[in-house]
Amino acid sequence: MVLNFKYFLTSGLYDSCIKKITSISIAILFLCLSNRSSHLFAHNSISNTNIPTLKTHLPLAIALGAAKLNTCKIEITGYTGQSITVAFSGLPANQPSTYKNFIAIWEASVIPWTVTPLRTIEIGVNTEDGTVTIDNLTITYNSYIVGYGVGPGIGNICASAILNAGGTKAPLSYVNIGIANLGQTSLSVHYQTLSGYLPKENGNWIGLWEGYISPYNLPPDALIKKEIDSYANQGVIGLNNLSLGRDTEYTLIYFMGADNTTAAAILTFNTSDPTSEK
Amino acid sequence: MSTATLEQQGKATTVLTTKIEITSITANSLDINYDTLPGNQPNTFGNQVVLWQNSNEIPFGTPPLQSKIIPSNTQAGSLNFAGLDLNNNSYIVGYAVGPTLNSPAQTYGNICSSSFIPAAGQPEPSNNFEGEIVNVKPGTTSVSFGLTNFPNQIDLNGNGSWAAIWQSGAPSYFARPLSAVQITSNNGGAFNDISIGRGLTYTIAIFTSGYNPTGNSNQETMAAAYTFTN
Repeated sequence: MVLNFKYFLTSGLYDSCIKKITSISIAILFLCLSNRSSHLFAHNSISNTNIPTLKTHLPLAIALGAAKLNTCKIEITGYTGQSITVAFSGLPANQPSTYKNFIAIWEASVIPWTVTPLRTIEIGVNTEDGTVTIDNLTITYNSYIVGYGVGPGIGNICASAILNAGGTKAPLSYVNIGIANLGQTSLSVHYQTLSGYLPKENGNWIGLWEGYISPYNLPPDALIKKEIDSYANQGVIGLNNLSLGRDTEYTLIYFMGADNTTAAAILTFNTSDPTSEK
Repeated sequence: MSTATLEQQGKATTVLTTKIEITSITANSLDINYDTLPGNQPNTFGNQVVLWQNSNEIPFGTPPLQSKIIPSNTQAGSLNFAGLDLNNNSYIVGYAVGPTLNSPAQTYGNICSSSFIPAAGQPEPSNNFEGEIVNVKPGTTSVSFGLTNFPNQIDLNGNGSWAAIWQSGAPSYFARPLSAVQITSNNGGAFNDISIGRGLTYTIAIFTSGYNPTGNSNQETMAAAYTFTN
C-alpha cells in the first residue's frame, strides 16, 4: 500500500497529468470564445446592413417620429333591438356642444349623403370624448351606419362606423391626412374623406401654420390656406410657394367647412435638418 | 365601454321593484301584501289596488270590478280588500303607484305590478308582472337601460312615463335628478349628455306617469329603480 501510494506521487507522472488537463481546458476555452465572437460579429453585420435600408425608406426632410396625427373617431359600443350606443372621440380641445357636433344614423352600409338620417342627436356635452345612446329606433338585421359631424351640417361628418347586417362591426372610417411629399418650397398633402363624400361641395380646406396650433384658437397668420378643388373623396393637394424652415414644427389641419371649429384632422410634423441626418 | 351587462362584469347593482302578493282569498275579500320603493307614501301619493276579472293580463281599457286606495303611508304593508264578490273565475289585481290618469292616458296607467288569481282548480302561474329596470349600460357621457316585465298592454309613452338618474345610492321622491327623460318605448330608454364618473354610484328610477317636458316632472309615481357603481 505504502509503495503504491509513493508511486502515484512520483513527480514525472503527476506533472504530465496536470499538463494534459491544462492544455485540454485551454483548447475548450478557445473554442468557446471563438464561438462567442463569431456570434457577435454576425449580429453586428446584420444591424449594420439594416440601418441604411431603414433610412432610405424615410422621407428625408421630416424628422423621424415627429409627425403626429389626430383624427376624429366614432365607434359602436353596443346595441339592442331599439337603440345603438356609440363612443365618439374628437380632436384635442374640441367642445362638441358649443360647436354643434352631432351623431346621425342611417339604415345603410355607406352614408347616403343626400338622405335625411333616421335620427340625429346633438351632442350636449363639451367633452372631447363621450358616449351617446340613440334610442327610439328599431334595429333590424339590416346594416346601419352612424356618422360623427364636427359642425351643424351633414357635410361636416368626418367619421363613421358600421353595424353590419347580422351584427358584426366593420373597421372604422374617418378623415385622414398625410404628407405625400415635402419639397424645397412645396408640400403635397394626401387627404382621405368618407366614402361618397364631396369635399369641394362642402367647402373643405386645408391650412398650414408654424408651431403647434389648435384649430379652436387659430392664429391669424396661416402660412397657406387652400380649398380642396376636387369632388373626389380622396386625393393629393399641393401647397406651393412655401418657405419652410429647417428643424421647425408645423401644423397641418383639415377642415370640413368654412368655420375653423369644423377641424377634422390635425397633423403636426417637424422638418429635420437634412445635413444632420447624414 | 364593455358590451357586457354590469352584472356580467361582476359590478355591484341593486334592483328595486314594486311588489304585490295575494296571501289569502275568500268569497268576498282578498288579503294583499305590498312592498313598494323606499320613501314611498302610498296613501299620500294615491297608490291603489285594482281588481279585474281577466286572464293574466291587465285589461287597461276595461272598467275594473273594484279599486281601493292604500289606506296607510307605510312603504310596505298589507290590507284587506273587502266588499268583493269572487267566484271560481280567474282574477288579476294590479298595484298602481299613483292615482287614476286622465284621457288620453290609460286610466290605470300607473299599474306596474300585478298578482293573478287563477280560476278554481287551475295551477298558480309564475309570471306575475313586476316592472323592472334591466341591462343598464353606462358610457362616459350616456347611460342606456332596458325595461322588462311591465304589464304587456301598458302604454308608457302615452301615460307620460319618465326616467330619472341621480348620483346617489337610492332613488328619491323629492331630490331633483341629474337628468330626466321621457319613456317613449316599453323596451327602455337612455340618458345622454351626463358625465358618469369613475367609481361613482348612480341610481336610475322609472315613473309610470307625470312627465313634464319643461322640468319638474311628478316624482311620486316611482315604480322601479336600479342602483349601480360605475
